Amino acid sequence: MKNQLWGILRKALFYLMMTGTFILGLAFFLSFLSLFDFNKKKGEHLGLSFGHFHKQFKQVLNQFGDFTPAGLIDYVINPKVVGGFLHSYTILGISLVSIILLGSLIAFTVILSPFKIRRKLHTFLDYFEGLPDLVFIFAINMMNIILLKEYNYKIFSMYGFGSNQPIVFPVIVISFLPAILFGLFLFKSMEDEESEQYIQLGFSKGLSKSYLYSVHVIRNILPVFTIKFRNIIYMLLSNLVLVEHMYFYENAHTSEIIFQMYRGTHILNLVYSIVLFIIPVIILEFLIKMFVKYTVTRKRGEFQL
Amino acid sequence: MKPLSFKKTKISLSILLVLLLASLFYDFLGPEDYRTMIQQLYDDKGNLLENPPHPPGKEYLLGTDRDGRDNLLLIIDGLKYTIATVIIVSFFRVCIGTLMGVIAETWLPAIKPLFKAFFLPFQYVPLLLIGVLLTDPVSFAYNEIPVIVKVEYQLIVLFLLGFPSVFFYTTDLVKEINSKSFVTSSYLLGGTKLHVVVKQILPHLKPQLALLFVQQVLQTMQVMLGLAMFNLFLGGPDKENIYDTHYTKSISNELAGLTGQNFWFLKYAPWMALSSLAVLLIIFILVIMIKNELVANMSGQIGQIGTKGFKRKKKFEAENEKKITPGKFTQIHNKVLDQ
Repeated sequence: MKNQLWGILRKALFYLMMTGTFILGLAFFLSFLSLFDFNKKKGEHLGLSFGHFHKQFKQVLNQFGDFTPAGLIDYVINPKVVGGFLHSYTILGISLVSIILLGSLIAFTVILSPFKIRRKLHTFLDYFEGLPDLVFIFAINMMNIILLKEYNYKIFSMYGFGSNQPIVFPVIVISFLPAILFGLFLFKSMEDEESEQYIQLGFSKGLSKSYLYSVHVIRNILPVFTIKFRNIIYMLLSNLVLVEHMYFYENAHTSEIIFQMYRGTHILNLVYSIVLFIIPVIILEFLIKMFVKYTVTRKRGEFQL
Repeated sequence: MKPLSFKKTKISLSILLVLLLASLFYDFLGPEDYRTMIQQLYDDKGNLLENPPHPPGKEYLLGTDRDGRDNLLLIIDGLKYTIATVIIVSFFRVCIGTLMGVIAETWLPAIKPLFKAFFLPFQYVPLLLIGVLLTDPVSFAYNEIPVIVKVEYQLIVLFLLGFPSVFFYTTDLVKEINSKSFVTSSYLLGGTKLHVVVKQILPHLKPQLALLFVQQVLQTMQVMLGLAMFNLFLGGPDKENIYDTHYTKSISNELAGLTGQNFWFLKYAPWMALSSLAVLLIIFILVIMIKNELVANMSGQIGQIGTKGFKRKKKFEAENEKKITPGKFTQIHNKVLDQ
């Protein structure tokens, strides 16, 4: 009993320490700028300014102290924030579904194709890993401009001035590269799994390739693949930030974050806006982890993974 | 064991070196400085000949920008800043991140969770957003901070953005190497931690570092390109009005900056943004080629199709085809299953 209590106490202390470190880290980065002395003449180099940093750090921590649940709720129920959040997450939601569908299609097309073609497609897809999303944003933007200029045909509106809140364009540009990468990662995970003996057994029993991959392989690679899927979700967030800024989406959550960065009066509002932006993704990540844990890991055991 | 092939890496590095040298020697050997080109816009009597930007043609291969400056010369001039920034940032990320990762995992494993909690925002908040938050107050147009000070600060921020990922990648890697039997044997035979790090961990870490460096190069370029879209250029914006146009332009002519500053004119003068983006894309592809070859060599695969001899390629394909075709399922696998 005493040992159990000590264990709980140790755990509580550990999480308390972690929370404290996290808050200190957050305050450190929010006051990072004041760590440096920019008041320099031409020819001089960047200096450090610990005094200024200490002052700013304390100020940020004091502002953290203003946190109240009511303040957070007030911020969250603000119609401007709700509107922006819903718009951004409509784009993100549609993009995520498109990525999963298109990526799965790519992965299955590649893995089920004859070996020679598969190798070539693999080599080709490998080049997408590392390319910047901006290349595709520019390409799709240019395609739209050319169609408009040459044929006077507008596929979708791009800019978000005033009340115009495009959905199709941001969905296409932010999900194009992640969809390809989703396909590539899924394909690579399936390819790694191919050497497992149960696949050979499946083949020997006469199971078709498509059945084996879509039913058995997919289920078994889920734990590994979800780690890669996390990267795709965060890539999507990053793309959304970029696109919403580039095309002036005023009623979007990114513009709210940028507003709080540039003209925010209280540091907590900036923290709230960023937390609100990433919290659904963290919840989604947690749900996926739980789903994998209860549907694959528990049923099949760690040894198969 | 077949020798590893670094053919693509050598070719890519040579091209990058040529580009860098061309940019470095531009100031000494290149044509007249692009800044003096403004005079070419006027005739002898001082009348304006034609309003810039000029499209690509015989005179200007990649066209001119809104100030009438030759895009090709701007790109050549800016290349050295892009390549230098990316190499410096990636080098320091890998060196410091790896060193700290090895020390933390070997001597101070208890600080790892604290470190993780401290850098938690870097795991969840998009790096671009953190980059904008940290660099905007310094890089924006209306301040008197000297360019060199801005560049130094921007390099620190770029370093910081990738540092946690390198640190955690290294700790994971060291942990994995530590679990190998040869490391345990070394400890059992009385080897010190320093001995294990020098003799066992570092030799296994070295090939991974090359790959890590290349990955960091790609990531740094992506972040720089993203920041440029927020008008956050390396060295800040140029306040000088060269022609009668007023717009935010990069002071260093760094490639990401050139792309970002001209994005808003994509509709009217696409060559301005696309020319610098195309050069950036070439650099990206060259670095990806290096990365892919490193990955292929590390995973012990025969390189990508097209890099090896025809016979070896055929043999490789045939071997793999055997593995996955249901009809050619061999007895060996049955034996394993029986066991």
